[in-house]
Amino acid sequence: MTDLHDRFDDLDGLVVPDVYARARAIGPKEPQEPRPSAARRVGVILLASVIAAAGFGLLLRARDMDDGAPATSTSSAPPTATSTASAAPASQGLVAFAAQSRGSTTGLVIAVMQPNGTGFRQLTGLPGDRDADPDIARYTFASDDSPSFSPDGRTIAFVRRYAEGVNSLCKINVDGSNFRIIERDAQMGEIAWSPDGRTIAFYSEQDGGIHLIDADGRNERALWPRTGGPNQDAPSWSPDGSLVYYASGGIWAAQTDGSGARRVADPPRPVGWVALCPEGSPVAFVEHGSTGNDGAIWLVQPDGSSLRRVTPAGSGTWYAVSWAPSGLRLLLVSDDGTAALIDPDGTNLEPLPMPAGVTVAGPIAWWATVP
Amino acid sequence: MSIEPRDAVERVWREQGAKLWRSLVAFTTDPDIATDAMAEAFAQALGRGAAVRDHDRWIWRASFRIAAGELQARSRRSDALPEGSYEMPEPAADLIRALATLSPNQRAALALRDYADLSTRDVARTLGCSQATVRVHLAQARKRLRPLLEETDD
Repeated sequence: MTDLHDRFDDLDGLVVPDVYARARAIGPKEPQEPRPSAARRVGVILLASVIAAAGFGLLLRARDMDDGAPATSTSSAPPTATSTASAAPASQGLVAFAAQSRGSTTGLVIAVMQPNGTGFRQLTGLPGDRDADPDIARYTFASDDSPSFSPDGRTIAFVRRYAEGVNSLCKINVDGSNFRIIERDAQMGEIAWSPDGRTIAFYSEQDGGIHLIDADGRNERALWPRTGGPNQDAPSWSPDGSLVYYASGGIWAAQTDGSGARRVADPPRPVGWVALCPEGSPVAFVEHGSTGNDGAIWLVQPDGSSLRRVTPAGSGTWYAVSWAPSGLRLLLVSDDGTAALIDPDGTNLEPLPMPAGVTVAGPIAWWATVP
Repeated sequence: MSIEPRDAVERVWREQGAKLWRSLVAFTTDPDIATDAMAEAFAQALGRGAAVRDHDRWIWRASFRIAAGELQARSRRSDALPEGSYEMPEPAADLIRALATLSPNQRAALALRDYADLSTRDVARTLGCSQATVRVHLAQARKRLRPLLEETDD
């Protein structure tokens, strides 16, 4: 079987031209003003008009066309099983996720819908974003991910990624109103809002550890010092807010007052994602296989006992997991951009209904009721 | 002791120039676009001076963004492929032909992950998307590319 990684070594046979001499010949250039051309602005306006009539799939593509991102596909790939609503579970609140149109890689948007696939609403990536956030024009590009609900379910915090590796922590109401930037240059990865609403835990791109920050963007501090080893990733709060669980090779839990951390479980293969049940136990996690892409979902009690696998072999390659507010269902996200629901005992696996042409890009947050 | 911005840019060229250019060739499948985009990115980095905080990351990201823009412009113009000035040796040419069957986004993810050996997180930062998005495109690209390359192995 061909090892793709080895095949890329063939590129080492290419003789590299003296690009740096050419850059010096071009001469130092002033930063380019990142405003779209007039033709492109007209295109965006026309597109927005079409979007208003044509719905969400086209709208998702609008940002890609506007931000100068890599060419997007207008693939008419047939909808997957996730776009069929026949398997829809009963409406149980609201889910939020980073969405993209099929065939596109850039310009993710935050979207919400009910878990039965109805009421899909795109909150970001809209033509008005540039007015609300001048940094989009400054950096020419924005992509939104990692949504997390406030405890009252009325607000979603998320990370906006601009060009040049600059991120901002943002908030928006679930009805799409009141967008605001909480912290600029935030260097954040995945985020999780605390149960009392006062704190946000996040993966820090500065040191590869979990940090805490007040919900107003102040007082950033490390959760538990990282001293080498794997990154700390995928923070998940305990219901009382005293602990944050996270992945760091195995599963760890750290006191939010900084008083200590302990290893919860150390599965034989690396842990990629952690989600504590809203009831306080068990912990759901993604285990990566030896190839690094065989994501299976497992459960373990917070004391490290009762380790058991949830997803059947061959059911999919899952990379993120979250809980229904009831603690009775798990939401899984697959490498192919689809999502599914499953009972914690491994039964009743069914696709999460999704509008045609929309794929999920990242973990899904789930709020109990529609605010 | 602080490093002069020009020295920092030159260091990126010296230490990472070859890797970056070949990654861009894998992404664009066109050595001329790779050269143009990379030269433009380095020229802009020199112009920005101390305003660039992390030269490594900035130059990689700018190179891919500029190259992506050129691919997009070419797509809009429906250009026929121009006569290239670079003679591609085998077996790299086989790989490039196979990569050309993928979407630009899939190629970008593969080039950075499987050739440049960036982590999924760094691929996401370079392309300005989430790790989850990178994983999706890597999975789709590998699935499509594997049988194509097995054919060329025969």
